[in-house]
Amino acid sequence: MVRFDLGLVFSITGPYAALGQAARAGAEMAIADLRGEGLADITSVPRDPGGIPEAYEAATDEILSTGVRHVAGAITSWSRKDMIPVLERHGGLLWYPCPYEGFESNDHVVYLGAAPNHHAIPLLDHMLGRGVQRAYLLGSNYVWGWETLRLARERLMAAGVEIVGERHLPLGSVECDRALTEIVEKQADLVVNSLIGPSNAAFMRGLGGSERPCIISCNQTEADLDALGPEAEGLIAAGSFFEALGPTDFVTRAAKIAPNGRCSAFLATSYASVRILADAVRRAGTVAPKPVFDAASGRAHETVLGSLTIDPVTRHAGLTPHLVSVQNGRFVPLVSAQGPIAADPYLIDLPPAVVQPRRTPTVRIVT
Amino acid sequence: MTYSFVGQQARVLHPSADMRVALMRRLASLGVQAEERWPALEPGDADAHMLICDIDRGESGQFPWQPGSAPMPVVGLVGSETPGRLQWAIDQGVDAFLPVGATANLFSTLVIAFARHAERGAQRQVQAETARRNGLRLPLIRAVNAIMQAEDVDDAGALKRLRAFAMAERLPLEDAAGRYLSAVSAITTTRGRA
Repeated sequence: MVRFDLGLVFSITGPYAALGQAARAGAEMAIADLRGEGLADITSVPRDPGGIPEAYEAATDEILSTGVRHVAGAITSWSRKDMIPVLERHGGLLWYPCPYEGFESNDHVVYLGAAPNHHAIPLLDHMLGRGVQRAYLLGSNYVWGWETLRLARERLMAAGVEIVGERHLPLGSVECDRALTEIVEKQADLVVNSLIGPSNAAFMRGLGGSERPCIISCNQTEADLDALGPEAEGLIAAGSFFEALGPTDFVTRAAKIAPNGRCSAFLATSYASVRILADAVRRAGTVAPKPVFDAASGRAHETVLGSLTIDPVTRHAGLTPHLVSVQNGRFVPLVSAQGPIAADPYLIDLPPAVVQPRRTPTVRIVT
Repeated sequence: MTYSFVGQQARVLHPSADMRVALMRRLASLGVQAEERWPALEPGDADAHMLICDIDRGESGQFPWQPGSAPMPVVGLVGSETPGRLQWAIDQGVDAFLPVGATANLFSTLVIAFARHAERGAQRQVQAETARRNGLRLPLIRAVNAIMQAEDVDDAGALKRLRAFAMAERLPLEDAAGRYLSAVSAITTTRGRA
């Protein structure tokens, strides 16, 4: 049985605590399972940065300074980018279990969450197929919001969709009135929603339930779905894991240990990450990050997310994209890729957007 | 815009085989096909879409073009940070710099290098156009003089008329002067024949 220490840098308090709690629960569940199965004895070294960006750097430094080589953590790209210089300084490896906006491939990170060709592109293309015409872009004011909305703007405009408005809210802000008014005034039929945490909940609750445009999100999971209330109904989300698609026994067990009683992509990806890490440490016979990464990459792993392979160059997991819609408070599968798709973090292999036929007004012929 | 380098050709000019291989793998992950070189480029390499070259051991004369005139974006790999080496790279007109320990940031370096190269190309065009127009000062003076005589106006009035003509013809002032002189010369010749 391999033995090693694993830092867990997830914010279990603060504005996006629900996501951090889910991810940490997944890591702890994997540690417990691996111990129970006699495969690995992992000592967790947890820290809670409380959602404060500056705290991630200090927490990571504290962990790696004690000789720990592997960390699972970060939720936001902001926090990951703050952790990277510390990882580089100490030669540590971050197992990052969250969907993100792409355009990164750092030698000290393993990217296990969905990349833009797993979430935004399939979701936007699906909506184009539904004939949307007028899109409103709304996101939290940091790199996730900026980049997902930039991509949405480019993709939708290339297909002939009009962008009727765009707004970014400060992280944690619940001032959604202007966005809500603009969406009605501009008669948007689609809202690309990249808000996170309390902003997202405030916006969705402010929307009301009827006569509203279709809302899509690449960051909505079961970790904070309940916070949106009944207004979440009809929301369409993209991701690499949803409860309805996971192995039943895992989802049932995870729901029991999850702080909110739900099994989300954050929990499941974090769980899969720790299992892949333990397997790679066993194969490599060391905790040294480079041999561990080499052992983890380039081969298929059977995980609760399905089969996945980590690309040795991009360092990203190939995942199966899924689209779901919220019905009665649960995600119901709409469409899934046939199997795992290699991550394309720099979108080098982006098929052109399909230009939409314009909806022609119905003309009544009077004879 | 989403930048894409897919299908482009790169040359990697670096003495370390490890570094060349690492960069070629990175480039391949961006859809770029690369060939390795050291110590010299080969004939035809000037047609590649980008060059990634070593600064530590780079030499003047290693490139088949004048400093600052590379026909493609050039990325310089920074190992030593000695001012002399950096100055050499600046003098060569390297478009963007990538520390050897940060090859994971190749994408952003390429984006910057391509933007700088396009900017340099645009600047060169502006400079060439300025030089060409500077060479047409004499026809400009002649055209102004001809208009002064033909229209019985002073120099400012003649220049104003030439400007109006240039605007109407959508030509630079100097080219408008040339066209005016040609037209006048054609009329004079025709009249002479008649």
